[in-house]
Amino acid sequence: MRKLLSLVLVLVLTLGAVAAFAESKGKVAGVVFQEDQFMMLLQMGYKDAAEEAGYEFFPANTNNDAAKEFEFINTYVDQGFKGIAISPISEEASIAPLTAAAAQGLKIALSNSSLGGLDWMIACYTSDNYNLGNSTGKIAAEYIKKNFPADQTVNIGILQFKTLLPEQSSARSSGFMDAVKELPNVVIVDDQDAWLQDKAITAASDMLTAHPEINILWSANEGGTIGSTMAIKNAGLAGKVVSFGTDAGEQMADLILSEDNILQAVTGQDPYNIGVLTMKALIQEIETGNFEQRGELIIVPGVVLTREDPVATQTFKDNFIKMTTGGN
Amino acid sequence: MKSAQMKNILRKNTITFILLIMVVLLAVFARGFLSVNNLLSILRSMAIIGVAAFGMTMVIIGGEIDLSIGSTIGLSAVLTAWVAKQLQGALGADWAVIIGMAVAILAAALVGLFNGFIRVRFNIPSFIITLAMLNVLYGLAAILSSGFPITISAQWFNVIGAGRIIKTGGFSGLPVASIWLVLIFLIVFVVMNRTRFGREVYAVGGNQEASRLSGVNIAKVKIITMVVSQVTAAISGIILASQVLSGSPQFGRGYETDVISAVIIGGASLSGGLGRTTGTLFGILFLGVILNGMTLLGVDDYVKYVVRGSLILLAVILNTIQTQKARHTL
Repeated sequence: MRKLLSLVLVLVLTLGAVAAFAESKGKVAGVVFQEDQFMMLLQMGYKDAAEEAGYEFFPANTNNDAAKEFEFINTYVDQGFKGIAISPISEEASIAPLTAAAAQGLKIALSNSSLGGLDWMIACYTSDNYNLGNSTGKIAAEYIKKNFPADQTVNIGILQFKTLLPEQSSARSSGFMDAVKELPNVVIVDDQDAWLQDKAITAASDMLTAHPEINILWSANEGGTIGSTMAIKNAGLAGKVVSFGTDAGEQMADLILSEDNILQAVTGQDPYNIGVLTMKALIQEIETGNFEQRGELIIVPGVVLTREDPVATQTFKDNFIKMTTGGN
Repeated sequence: MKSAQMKNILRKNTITFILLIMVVLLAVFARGFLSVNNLLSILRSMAIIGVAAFGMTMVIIGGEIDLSIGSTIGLSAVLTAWVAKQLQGALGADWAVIIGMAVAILAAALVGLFNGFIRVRFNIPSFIITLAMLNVLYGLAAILSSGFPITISAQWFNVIGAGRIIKTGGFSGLPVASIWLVLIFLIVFVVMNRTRFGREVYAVGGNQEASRLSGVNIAKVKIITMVVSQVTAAISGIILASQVLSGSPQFGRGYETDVISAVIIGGASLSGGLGRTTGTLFGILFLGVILNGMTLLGVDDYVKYVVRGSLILLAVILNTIQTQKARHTL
């Protein structure tokens, strides 16, 4: 009986492997470095594009660990993967293992980084972090002009993620500040670090206590935006303080559509599309050896959601739910 | 008062004195620190850590530890939101979220039961069991939510973690979250100080063999404390979900270190048998005041890590010295 079961198991595994090998054009991997919404959508984009093109797809998450990233890359080289689409942990530390892997024949396309022009990379698809902040900053500036007299000081508090990803956080906040500081009556009164909802709600509450003069909170990412918006709501300051933010998702859309009139606008990235485009570039390079924009840093435009355009926000929300739940 | 008496009081209340010094310094240097609203805001912010810390106090006094509570906080928030979303079409958003909360608490109790059972049945150290469960529970939360935050649409649910009662003119109201904190504190305080079960927890943590010979059901004590730890963590998760009206597997990650820090700062010994519920309350306030004070002072975010870590270390060293002295006098 045991022998029969072993035989059946071996047969099933062999047939499975043969079938997978016969159907697949080869193995590709998608590597992200966090477990947040952005990275989940990026990974979904990688997966959908790879499977649509007939490749066997392997997802991985380095969890912000350079050693894990190094290990994954070496495993892909050893296992004969055709290529990887990766969101590298660092623009410094990730280069050496990626360069070495490319030298051993692994095709590499990048996402969510500002790396460009390196001879081993196929391309890098990313959002422009400065523009993400700047775009919301311009909307905030318009809001200020419309709602505050020119001689009244408008006090702004900021929530960033600079201890997590300093380059990205700093680019976004510079973009936002450059836009609002064009108005002479704007003062940045506080600048704190909190990027997860639970921590951001506390940090924003404390900021509102320390600076009761704050009129606007701006946050550099999704967790910060939700946390600061809920902090304003929970402090009973709806109607007195408003928020602006970065990134877009279901709850962000709900907060913009909410009647409490706190969250005014966000500029979101398009991680799913970034994932799809990165994987498509990788596959084109694998199949033809000729990706037209080789080595380039390609900016994928973001999406702006505002209280002024509830229809667009609702449409975004519906599409987002469809994408993340498969239409369920 | 004699200097020996003074020394004794100082030694027994080290954390209280450090906390007092911090409060005085912050009252002078941090704008708005002493306002009633800010002090209540600290209580509200610390409710999530605090509620879980009281459960952890029982576990630690009983000579065990529960490292999985961070993931329990996340899983409870996700379960509440997920169940609410699944049932809101059939039952309406209000009842759906109530059932979601009940499911979250029940699931946590079952996890505690499982942890406790494995502990007593196979005699595996609780830190290994709960370290494994930390990953299992996080994975379950991520699977259930597909990694995305789940929004809760019942607006009244926001009151549990972010509501305020007894609002008057200049007073913005008592945060409901702080009421949960005080309520759980009182329950754990009474259980640990006024019941036979509380005495059994101290006895089991202090000397398991002596407790067994005295007829204490050690397995029952350990299992119950593990269940309480999980249930209080689930309540923390529900409060957190209520504050942000959503549930995400990212919630609660790393909270176990804050919760254990609060208990240890409060004077509990990781070897078991020593600790006080009031001590944990001071530990919670200590952490809350540090966090709030540094934000009010606008301390650089990188410096915050150093200051916070150093103050926790200092508090733990002073308390450990005090605990060792207490053990010698027993």
